Formats: sequence, C-alpha cells, structure tokens
Amino acid sequence: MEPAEVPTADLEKIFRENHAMVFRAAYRITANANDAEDVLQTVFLRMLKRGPEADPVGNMASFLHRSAVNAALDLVRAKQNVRNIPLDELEPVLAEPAFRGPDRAQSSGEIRDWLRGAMARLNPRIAEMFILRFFEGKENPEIARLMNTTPGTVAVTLSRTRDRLHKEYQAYVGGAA
Amino acid sequence: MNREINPPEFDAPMEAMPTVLEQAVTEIRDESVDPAVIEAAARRVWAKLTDAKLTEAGQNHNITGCSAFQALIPDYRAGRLSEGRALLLKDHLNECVACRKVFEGRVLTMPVQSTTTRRSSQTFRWAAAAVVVAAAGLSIWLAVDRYGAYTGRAIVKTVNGTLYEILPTGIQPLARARTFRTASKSEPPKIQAPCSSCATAPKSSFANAPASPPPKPPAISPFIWNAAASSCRPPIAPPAICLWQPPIAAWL
Repeated sequence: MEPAEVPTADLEKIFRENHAMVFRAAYRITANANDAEDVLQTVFLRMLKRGPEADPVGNMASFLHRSAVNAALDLVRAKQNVRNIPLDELEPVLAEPAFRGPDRAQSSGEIRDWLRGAMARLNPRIAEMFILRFFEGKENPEIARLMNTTPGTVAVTLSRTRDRLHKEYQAYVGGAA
Repeated sequence: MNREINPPEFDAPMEAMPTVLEQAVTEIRDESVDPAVIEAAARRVWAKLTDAKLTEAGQNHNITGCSAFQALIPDYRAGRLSEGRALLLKDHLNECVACRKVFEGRVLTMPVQSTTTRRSSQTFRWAAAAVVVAAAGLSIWLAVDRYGAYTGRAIVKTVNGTLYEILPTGIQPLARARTFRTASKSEPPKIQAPCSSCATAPKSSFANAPASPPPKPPAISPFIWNAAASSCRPPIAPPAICLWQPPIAAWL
C-alpha cells in the first residue's frame, strides 16, 4: 500500500508509469488534448499536495484512473456552461476508426459529443461508474471494489443509467429532428 | 454545439437507438491519441510539477489555508508569481469555491467566521444538548414512575368494605391516607385481593387470600387485606383496588 505522502522520487516514478493512462482516460471524457493535459496536471498536483494525514493508496493505478475520471468530469461540468467546443477541433489528434466512413463522421461525432455531455449531467458517482465500465472497460467487480459497493449495485446502476440515457437520447433526437 | 443531424442515422427505429449509443461508446473507448501528443503534454506537466514542488520546498513558507492562497492573488494578477506558485493557486481556485469568489471579485475576502460567532454557536450546541439530555431524563423518570415495577407508589381509590393492615403485631384497619413502606425495596407490600378479578394483584397474594376472617398474619409485612370483599361472592362487588405498585402504598 502506498503511503499518503509521496516523495518526489516516487512521484516521478508514478508519473512515468501512469501519465499516459491518466491522459487517455481524461481525453476520452474531455475529448480535448489541452483539457486532458490540464487533468493530468491536476491529478499529479493533488498527489504532490497529499499530506501525511491523507488515506494511503491501495492500488496506485486504479487510484489515478479514478482521479483522472473525476477530474475530467469536473472539468467538463465546469466548461459546459462556459463554452462548447465543436468536436471537429479534436479531429487532428484522433485516430480514425476503420469502420467509420466519411458519410457517418458528423453524426457519429455528434452522438459522442452528446454522450460526453450527458455524462457531465449525470450524478457524479453514477457518471464515474458508467465511464469506468463503458469508456475504460473495467469489469463490474473491479468497479464495485474501487467504489466501495457491490457488483450487484453496479450492475443495477449501469442498467438504469443505460435506460435513462436511451430515453434522453430519444428526447434529444426528437427535439433536434 | 452543432445539432444538425444526419437523417439516415436518426431515421432508424427507436429500437435501434441503443445500438447507436453502443456505437458511440465503442468509438469513445477506441479513440486513441498520438503518443507524441501525450509525451509532450507529460513533459510540460512534469516541469510544472517540479517547479511547484521546488517552490513549496525551497521557500520556507508553505501555502496553507485559504487566506494564504488569497494573499497570492494580487501577485498572480500582476504576473509576479512564480509558475509553481501560480500552478498551486490555480489548482486551489479550481477546488475552493470561496477563494474562487474572491478571485472573481464577487466577494472582497473570504468570510471568516468570527470567534464570537463560533463561541456562541458552541454555547448554543451545548445548551441544546443539555436540553435534550434533561428531556430524555425526565421522560425516563416519568415512564418508570408510571409503568415501571417497584416505583414505590400505589393508590387504593375505592374499596368495598374495610382494608386491614396485617402486621406481625396484629391486624388493624388501614387508615385513610395511610402510607407505608416495606422493609426492603425488593419486597412489595401486599394488598390482599379477594378474587382473581383484580388482575393486577400479585399471584402470591391470591394464593394467600383468606376465605373469611382475617388470617393469621404471615411472616411478611406489611400485608393488607380487604375483609368485606374477601368472600368473593355476589352481590359483593369485587374491590376496586387494582393498582399495585410497590413498595409504597397510599390508601386514600
């Protein structure tokens, strides 16, 4: 178990081993390289500032993963009322999936954009659960352990969240059509 | 946000919508970023982190508390703050609403709770706690006095006949407003009821109930016996003494 306060040498090692994972997790939520960099900075700055009284970290990678998801969600929530970034701005750093044809680019990007916005509107804990499961690909038992709950609760919460997103999406499409 | 939609995609039946979302989730999960972009970002972030760490360690005045962060705001605005300190301040502003309001000029300084207010607040809390404890104690005392066993008070409201107190020294009519105690708290006084209709009388009292004229005084004391009602036959009404709460009884 990692101590609460991380010495600089250890922090460097942790940073070297985990920065890419943190950046990618943040990028999947923010869809913006600059924002992902801000999240990376925030996550490790908080590590740097952790005092000896803070709880020790069990699994550093999982801890940082969660921290990245939460910091990214905070950032998206804070930005939602300030400005909206067209998804097109992100394209230069995106690797084009093979199955995505040019004719689908706009609608597919818009759905992703809508989904990211929906994550920011969800209850923070539920959003974190959903992102860990579907964006980050973690299994329910691992999410349950990370979030101090049961796999059953995770499964039920995810199922309800999917239903809710489905309804919201239908409303969105109906309103936009 | 551009909300223009592509008709072929959204003309799909409603049942297909989850598939569309699943597709979006899959795309998000599969999004990859150029490793060069990540490494460049990591270099910048690590440089700032190192600066922040050196700033905190090198300057012998760590930034602790909101007031310390607020003191940095003028220097930050003037661009005089080192990059490390600026980083720490920006991070704090992100997570502290009070300081963010100060930074945005919505309040002049963070409202600090005065000692007087804090003290009066503590006094109020202690007073409230004392009231709760006193109320709980009073409730318990009243409940025990009313319903608890061996609370020390019983009242004979009415009686058909005469009540006798049977003592080791002899039998004598129980005087009105007579109050007495048992020798020990564990031994209740006995009010001799004539029949089982007096449901609250102790079983042992019934077992010892005399058929007629007063029995020989038992070894225990005191002992009260209702002579007129003891025959327990109609038309003599059963006694109305149904309150039995030792160890003190009052005959009104």
